[in-house]
Amino acid sequence: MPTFVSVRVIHPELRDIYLNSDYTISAGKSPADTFSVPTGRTTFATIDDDDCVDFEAPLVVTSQDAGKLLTIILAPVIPPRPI
Amino acid sequence: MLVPPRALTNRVFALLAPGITLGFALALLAGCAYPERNRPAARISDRQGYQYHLLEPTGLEDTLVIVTASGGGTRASALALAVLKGLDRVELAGGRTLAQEVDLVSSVSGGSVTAGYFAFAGRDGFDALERDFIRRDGMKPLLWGVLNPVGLVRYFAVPGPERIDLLIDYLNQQLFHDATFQALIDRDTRPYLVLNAADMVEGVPFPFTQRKLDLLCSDLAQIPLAEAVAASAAFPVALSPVTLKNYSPCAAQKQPWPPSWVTNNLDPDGTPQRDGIWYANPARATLGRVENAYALGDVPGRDDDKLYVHLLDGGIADNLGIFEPYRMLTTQDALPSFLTRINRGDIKKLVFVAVNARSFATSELDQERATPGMIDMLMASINAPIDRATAGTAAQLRELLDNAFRQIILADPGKEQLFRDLAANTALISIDFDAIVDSECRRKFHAIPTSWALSKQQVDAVMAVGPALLGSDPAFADLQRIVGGTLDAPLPSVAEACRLVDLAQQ
Repeated sequence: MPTFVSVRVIHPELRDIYLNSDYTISAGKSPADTFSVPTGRTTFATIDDDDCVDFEAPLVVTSQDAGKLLTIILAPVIPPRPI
Repeated sequence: MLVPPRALTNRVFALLAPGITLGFALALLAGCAYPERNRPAARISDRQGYQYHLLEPTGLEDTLVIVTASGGGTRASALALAVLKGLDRVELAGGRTLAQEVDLVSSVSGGSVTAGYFAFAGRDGFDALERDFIRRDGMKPLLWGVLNPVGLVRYFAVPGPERIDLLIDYLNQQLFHDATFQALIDRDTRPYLVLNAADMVEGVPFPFTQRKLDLLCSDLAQIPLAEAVAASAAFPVALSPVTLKNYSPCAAQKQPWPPSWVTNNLDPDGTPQRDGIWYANPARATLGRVENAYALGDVPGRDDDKLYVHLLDGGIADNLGIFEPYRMLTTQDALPSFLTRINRGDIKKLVFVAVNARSFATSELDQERATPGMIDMLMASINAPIDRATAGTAAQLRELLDNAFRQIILADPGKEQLFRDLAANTALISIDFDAIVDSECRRKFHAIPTSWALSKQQVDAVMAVGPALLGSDPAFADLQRIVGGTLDAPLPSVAEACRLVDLAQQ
């Protein structure tokens, strides 16, 4: 039975956030929106105007985190990687 | 078990002997050669191919309509069609029907025939499906394909067809006419089709989706619909598996490979035991390991390469076809992720119709002391896991989703209103013979066999009970309210369907 946590991306700001390499649809914006993700690992990413991943970070969520609101800071991808 | 009279056996053998002789001769000359079922992909991207988000949306933009169809031979094909026809009776504003608003259809085995043809031809194909498949005796052509001498010679051609080709050929002849997934891309409209087979080695569902085929570096667009439907319906032993070649790794795959949606479900080297992904989410961990093996394919130096994927009846792993839609609703691992769309507020209403044609054919084994024979044991070993993959799953769906949504609210009180509104605008309907209150009627529906040939009366009864169970489900009123639909005329009653199944038993 999966449990869920809520995640807020606090950096970079004002960017569309993409989850688990699904670049077909933005899951929401940083830092305003929160993202519900299941336990396990989820990758958070942003893409630039050239369709390259420029910020990214994985987040591991355990069942002990269930019900919590977590925050994450994405790390720059150098050089940006084409999606 | 029926034993043919010796004279008949001799005649059949006399007919088959030339074919067998020639066939073995060809086989000896040729050695082993197998048909190529899939081709390598030239390009891999979530922005091309058969993708949910690339298909033209339906009219109910904030409403997600999912239909799942279980296995069960022609009984399952007929029940799925009957329910779709029932949905087609729900008229919406603008002159469309609810059947035209189905966003996703996910299916297994016999249900895949209907799901596949519905995605291929839409509601305009209802009559052809009923006439050319459901009301035809599908067993005769399948058996004759094996027993006639010409068929046998073809059997040993190079590359030779396999037993599954009998079903593929029949489905092509009757319904799909060699159409591939490219036809669904060209049709450019929902429902998005998810045909579910099972990886017979791993024992997990194998949906024919773009992402799954991309892992194998295989071109989904070139795969014949009949082949995918047959893989979903490849009943063990009676039919051979559909074997896909794994072309991975290949140049079309982008770095990093495997993609993060796969590797996210793996434990990196050095992970402490207590931090294993499996403890956090066993379903994601199990599937992640299999998908990682698909993605790696041929790895030099390893002896557990996954060079081929052997696909059997999807019922082995999930006989309702709900695994992949549930994954879409509760994770960001699948495309589309409905969880992401719910989070964004794009999906505000949910209609989920699960069609379950499970049967319980009566068995005399429990009345006899005699030790069950090999055929009985074989059938039990095949049917037991399929029944287990069905029983209770539909009933658990609401609990699973309710629990998932409750967990999300707990984690993010800001989303409480969003998910409370979704819960208030969700209709989960389970079409199941088990719902029939009249025990005698229920028993008779359960007794309709799993076969590719049903009598006219049996089909009549199933075609009536589908819309009857749809209309009598307590959630049907919610469904009408959610989509703003009205019925053009009352749906048949369960009592009427019971009268028809009485005729089928006579």
